[in-house]
Amino acid sequence: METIKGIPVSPGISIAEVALLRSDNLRIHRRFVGPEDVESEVRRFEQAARKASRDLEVQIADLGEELMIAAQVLQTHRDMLNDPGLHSDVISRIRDNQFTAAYASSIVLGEYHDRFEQMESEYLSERSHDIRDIERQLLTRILGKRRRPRVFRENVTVVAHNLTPSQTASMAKEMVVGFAVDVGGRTSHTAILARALQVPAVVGLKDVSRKVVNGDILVIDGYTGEVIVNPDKKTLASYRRKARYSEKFYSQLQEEISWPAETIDGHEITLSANIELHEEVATALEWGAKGIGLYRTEFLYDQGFPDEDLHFKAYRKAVKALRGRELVIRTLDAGADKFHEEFVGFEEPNPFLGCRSIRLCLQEQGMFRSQIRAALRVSVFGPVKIMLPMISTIEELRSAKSIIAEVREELEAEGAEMAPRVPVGIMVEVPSIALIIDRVADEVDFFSIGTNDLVQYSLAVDRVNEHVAHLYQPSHPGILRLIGEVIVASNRAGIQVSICGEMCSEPAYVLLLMGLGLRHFSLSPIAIPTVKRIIRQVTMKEAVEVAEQCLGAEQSSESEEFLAERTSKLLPDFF
Amino acid sequence: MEVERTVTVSNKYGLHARASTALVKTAAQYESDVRLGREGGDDFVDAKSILGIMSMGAECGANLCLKAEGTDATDALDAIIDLFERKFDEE
Repeated sequence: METIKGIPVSPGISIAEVALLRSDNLRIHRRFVGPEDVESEVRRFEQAARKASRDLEVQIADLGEELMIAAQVLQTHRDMLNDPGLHSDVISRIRDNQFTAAYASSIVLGEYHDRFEQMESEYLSERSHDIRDIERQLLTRILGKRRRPRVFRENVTVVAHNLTPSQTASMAKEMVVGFAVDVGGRTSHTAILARALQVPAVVGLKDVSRKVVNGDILVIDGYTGEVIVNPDKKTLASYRRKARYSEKFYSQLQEEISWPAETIDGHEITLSANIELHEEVATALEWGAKGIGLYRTEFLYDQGFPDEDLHFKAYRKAVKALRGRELVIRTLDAGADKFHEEFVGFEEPNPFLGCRSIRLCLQEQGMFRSQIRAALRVSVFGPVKIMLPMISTIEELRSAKSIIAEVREELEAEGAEMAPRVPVGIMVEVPSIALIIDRVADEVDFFSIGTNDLVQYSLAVDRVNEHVAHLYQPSHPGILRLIGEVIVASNRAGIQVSICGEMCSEPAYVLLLMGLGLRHFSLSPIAIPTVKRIIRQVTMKEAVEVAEQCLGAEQSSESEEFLAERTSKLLPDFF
Repeated sequence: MEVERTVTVSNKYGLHARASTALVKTAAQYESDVRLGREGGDDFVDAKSILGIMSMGAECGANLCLKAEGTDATDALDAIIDLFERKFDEE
C-alpha cells in the first residue's frame, strides 16, 4: 500500500482497477529532403493537416450534445490545425530549410509549445498540452500511423503521465470511473472533463504512472487529493464507507457552502483552509474557506532547496487566486532527514527531536532567507502572513525575526515593493513554548495552535506507532489546559489565535474547541462544510458547557464518549 | 484602405480558447488582412490565427490595437470591435 498526494480536481471517491495509458512517444529526427522533393513535402503536410482535422470532425460528431465541453476542446484543436499562421510557418521551414514535413511541423509546434508553457496564466500555460496534442495528431497522419482509441470492458481508473485533451475526450463515453495523472492543474482538460462527467480525478501526482501497473487497485479520493495504490483491507473498507457516505452527504452540503459559520446565538467562527499546493486554493474556496490559514510549503522542497524564484512563483499564484483573502505561509517544517546529503547531510537518530523545521532554517540561513524574501515580496499582491513552526525557545523566535527584519531591509535597499507590514506569528506545538506563552505573546502578531505535534510532544506519543497509538489523545485534560493558556495569553495581548491541527477537522472536537474560546479554525478544505454544519446547530453557551465538562474530566476516555454522543446527534449521517 | 482602432478586453477570461475561436471566425469572414497587438507594442499577430491570438495572452483589461487593410477593412473592424464589446457573449 502506498499513498500519493496530488491536486484534487474533481470530487468523489472511486475504487477500481488501473488501466495504464502510455503515451506513444513519437521521436522525430532532423531530416532533410532534396530540392526536388520540397513541394511534395509541402503537399504531404497539407494533406496530413486536412486528414487530422477531419479525424477531429468525426470525433466531435460522435460526442453528441451532452459532452459539449469535450467537443469544444476538439473544435479548438481543429481550428489550431487549420491555423493559417501555423501552415505558413511550417511550409516556409520546408521550403527554406528543406526540412521534412514531420521535422518542420515538430519544430514549429515545439516553438508554440514553449511559448505557451512559459506564460504566466495557469490557463494559458496548460494550453501547451493542446499544442503537444495537435502535434501528435498531425505527426501520426504525416507518418501514416493511425492510432485506435482504447476500449475498456469494465470499470477502470485511467492512469497516465499526461492525458492529452483528445485522449481525454475520446474516453468520455468509456467505462472510466476515475482519473489519476502525473502532471496537470485545475484547468487541465482532465480536470474539466472529469468534473463534467462527475468522475473523481486527482492530477499533479508526479510519478503515479511509474508506480502502478495494469490491474493494481487504486483508490482515488477526489476530496483530499490522495491516491492509494493497492490499499490494505482496512483502508479499502474505510474508503468504501467514505464513498457511500460522501455521495449522500456532500450532495446535501453543496447548498450550504455559502452559508456563514455562525452559531444560533450569533457567534461567527472563521473557517480557513490548510493547503500543500497553491493549486488547492481554488478547491478550498469552493468548499467555503475564508482564506488559507496554513500553507505548508514542504512540497517546494521536493528536489532539495528551492531558489527564491520557485517560492515566489508558487506564493504569487496562491495570493492571486485568493483575491484579497489572507494567506498564512508557514516556513519549512521538515527535518534534515528529508534532505539528500548534498543539502544537509547527516543522519538523524531521532528525527522528531532532531534538526528540523525552524532549527534547520536557522542553521541553513541561505535557504531560509530565500523563502522569507519570496514571502515578503508577494505581500504586494495581497494579505500575507509568515508563520514560524516548531518554536521551542524565545531565542529562536528572536533570531528568526531578526533575519526577517534584515531581509526586509535588504529588499528595501533593492527597491522591491512590499506591504508596509507583514505579520509574523508562530505555531504553538512544542509544550515548552505553550508553558511560557504569556511571555511570547508580546513578541508575535499571532498564534496558531498545531495540535498534531502539540499532542505528540506533550504526551510523548508517536501516533503512527500502533503499539502506543491509543495514547494519542487530543482531548487529554493536559492538552486542553495548554490550549486554554494559549487562548488566555493571546486575548490578553490582543493578538489572534487560531488552530490548524487535524483536531479541528474532527467533528467530535468542534464544540469543545469553540467552548475553549477558539474563533479561528484552519482545516482541510473538505472538512469545512461538515464543521460548519455543526457550528450552525449549536449555541456558544452549549459549547462552553462541553468544554467545561471535558476540562473537568479525569481521563480523556470520558470526554471522548461524551463528545461522540453529542456529535452523533448533530450529524446523524456521519456516524 | 487601412484602418486602425483600439479596444479593451473586457470579458472575464480574456482571449482564451473560446473567445479566440470567435475572433478568428469573425475575422475570417472578411477579405481584409486584420492584425492585432498590444497598444504601444510592436508585435502584431494575424487575427485569423488562433495560435497567434492565444499566444498574446491578452487578459481582461488589456488594451489592444487593431489594424485592418483591404477593401472591407472598416466593416471587419466594426464587426470585431462589436464582438469585444459584447464580451464575446460570455456574460
